[in-house]
Amino acid sequence: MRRRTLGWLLVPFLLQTACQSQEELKQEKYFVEGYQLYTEHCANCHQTDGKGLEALYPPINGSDYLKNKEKVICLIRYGQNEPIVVNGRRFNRPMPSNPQLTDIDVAEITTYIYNKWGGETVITDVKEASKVLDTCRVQRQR
Amino acid sequence: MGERDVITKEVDGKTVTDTAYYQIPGFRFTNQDSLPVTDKTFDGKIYVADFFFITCPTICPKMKTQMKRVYDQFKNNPDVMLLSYTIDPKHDTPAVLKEFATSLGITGSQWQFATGPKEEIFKTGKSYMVVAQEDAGAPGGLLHSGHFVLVDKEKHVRGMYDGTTEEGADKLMADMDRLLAEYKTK
Repeated sequence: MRRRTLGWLLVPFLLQTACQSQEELKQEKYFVEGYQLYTEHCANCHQTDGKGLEALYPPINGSDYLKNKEKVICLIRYGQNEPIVVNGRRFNRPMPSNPQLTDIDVAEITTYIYNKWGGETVITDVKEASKVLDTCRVQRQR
Repeated sequence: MGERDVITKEVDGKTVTDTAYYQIPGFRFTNQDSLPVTDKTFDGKIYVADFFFITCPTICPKMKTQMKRVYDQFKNNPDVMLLSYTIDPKHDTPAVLKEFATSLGITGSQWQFATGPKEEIFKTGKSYMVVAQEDAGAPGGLLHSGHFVLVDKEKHVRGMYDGTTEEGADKLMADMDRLLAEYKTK
């Protein structure tokens, strides 16, 4: 008898997960594809757990640099040649650029990073990423 | 394990056959402290060799992540050394290698980073049976294998491991323990 009651209680929950809203589907797509792209393009150095490697490659997980989100978005595409300070520690190695990453790729990687380690629960939409990428592309050309 | 040749020789007037394992030939390069590093540096040690270059964007960070695990596991073991040859000596000078090693958390001389004339390094790569060469099509312009090569105290190659994966490094470390145990019982 008790089991049957529990089963009925689960029905609304099941219906909800079965019919995710458009928004939820989009978030899931961004996160999952972001994870795959992160694994392919970022994890070699920054590691699967995002903790980096010693003083060679800075952490993303637990990194105070995440507060510069626009810089992070540009970094993913364009790399960086100057030293970077993360959590008070200086890292001298350049980060290679990833010109092959499209705007949606960058948006999905950003979503993955900020959902996983930046405390965010919403996506970084491709429109937002494109705007930032355009701005830093123009700045770089100056 | 390892390549071997069957040789025949005369002993006490009789012809006998024996098995000769392939040995790493002599080499002479410069390490991260601008000191010579040669085959003699590894006398009486088992060691793990690999080929990499600092600006390599693809497999090298993975290899260094795994080699660092090996280093941490066998740190201060007097019977164990590590040897990473750079295949980009133009960029990877002793000073650059030193900075890299320090950033990786490496101190002392247990992990040697070797640099020298490029052709010599490519030739040495062949002696470890791994690929190291220039290739315009490869990321960074250089092509090299991601293998870790385990060499015993007699300079015989005892195993090759995938240096880009945790599983490969785990297998290497297990074999290193076995090899060290072999010497203990001798």
